[in-house]
Amino acid sequence: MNIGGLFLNFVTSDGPGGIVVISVVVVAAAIYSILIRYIMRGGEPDTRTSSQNKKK
Amino acid sequence: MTITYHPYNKNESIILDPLQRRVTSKDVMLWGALLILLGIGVYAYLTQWFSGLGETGLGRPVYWGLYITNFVFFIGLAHSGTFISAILRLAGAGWRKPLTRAAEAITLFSLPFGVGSILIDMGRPDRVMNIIFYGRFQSPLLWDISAVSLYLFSSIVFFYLSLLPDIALCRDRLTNVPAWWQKMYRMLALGWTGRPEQFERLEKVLDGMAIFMTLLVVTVHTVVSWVFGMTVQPGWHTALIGPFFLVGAIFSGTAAVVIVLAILRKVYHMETVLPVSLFNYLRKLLIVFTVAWLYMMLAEFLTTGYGNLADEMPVLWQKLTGDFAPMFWTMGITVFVLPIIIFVFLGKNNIGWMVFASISINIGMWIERFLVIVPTETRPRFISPLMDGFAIYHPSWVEIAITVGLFSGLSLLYLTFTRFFPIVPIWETTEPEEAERLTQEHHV
Repeated sequence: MNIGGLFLNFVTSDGPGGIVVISVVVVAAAIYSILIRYIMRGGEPDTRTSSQNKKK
Repeated sequence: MTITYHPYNKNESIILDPLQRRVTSKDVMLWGALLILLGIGVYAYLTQWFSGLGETGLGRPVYWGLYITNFVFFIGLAHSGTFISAILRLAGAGWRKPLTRAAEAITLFSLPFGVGSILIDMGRPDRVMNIIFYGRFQSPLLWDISAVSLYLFSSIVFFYLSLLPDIALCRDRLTNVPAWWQKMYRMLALGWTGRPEQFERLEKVLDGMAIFMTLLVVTVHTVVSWVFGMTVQPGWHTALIGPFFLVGAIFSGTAAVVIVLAILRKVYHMETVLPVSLFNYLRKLLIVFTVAWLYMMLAEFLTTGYGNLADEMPVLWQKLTGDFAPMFWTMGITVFVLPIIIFVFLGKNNIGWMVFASISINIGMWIERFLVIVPTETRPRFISPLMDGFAIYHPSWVEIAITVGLFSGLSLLYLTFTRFFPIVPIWETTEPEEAERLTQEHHV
């Protein structure tokens, strides 16, 4: 099986390029939404019990 | 009841003042003038939309004229925010803090106009979807659209995150603004409480993003340059084009920051918040960039000149002594000669001179973009014998009006932003010892 040929065919044919644009934006959106939630959770009141705090 | 904490900043009232200022007749006149210019640009675009690209001065073989010049210029301007905010953040330059938001706002508002310039140049903007449906990996246009989309998206998030504590502060302090305005602050603040842990997390994320944004800023403008460099056209096909574009972008972006800061300082009376020392720091940076730009220019022109290749030389001579010589030498004076004299001998502690030099740099850098693009197209490699005599380019009124409209739109957006959000970061400019002392406020 000509794997090199397959790869070349994939990258030189119409269409798959769009996957790059969409993937880049979608992955970035997912990461940024996680980061924003991480920051916002830092503002929540500390809900740990006093025994948990002692352990820490 | 939610308790909200805000770091104490002695300049808070000065920074928040533009948001509470009454609209004066001067404001109305300025907004009116910008809207009229924008309207003329929209009219010109509609003319082009209905009549086609024949309304422009574009044609074979000059496919890219003012629009693509604007694209490269706006993307270049956009690098100011990332440079000031991300790169100087990583370098630990504390002096940058008061000017980060003003710079980031340039990034945020320039990018859509850069992207818009491509769509305008396309004549048929709907065909941009062809990149999604039929894009090939080996096409620099695909890399370009991926990099610019990611940069725009990341810039919005980076800008928003650093604005977040100040939006919450506006939510809590500006209680006398209209209800919709308050609602906007409440929505955008996302329930920010300002607890120390939240600030720690925010700083951590911003530090991480600064590294990523630094990589992006290099990637984006290099990829923009590759749209030209990956062709085999004279003047474009050089490995230096990426670094050259990058230096030019950061150079013009930093000069734009000087102009914007000086206007904000004057109009909003922010002399204590934006001291002269800030401008002196920027002056030193600009001296470095001016010299770096000249170095790139000489390296490029000497290499091409010594190579003496048949296809390269007509483009080079066009710039040095031909049709584009007046523009070329104007560029040399406005980008290098004037600025270096002003920055070294006159600019220290003198904001007026610095603004003059920065305006000069930006005019020159716009010309530089034009000179990178158009002379090559008038003397292309493969079809020059066929096109001899036809390869001229004169921008039409439609292109000029759209260009003016784009710059007016950018100014209008920026102006509007300064009336709704603090243009100097309040939480970042808190004195270190005072930052320890959190003022507490009850927010229901």
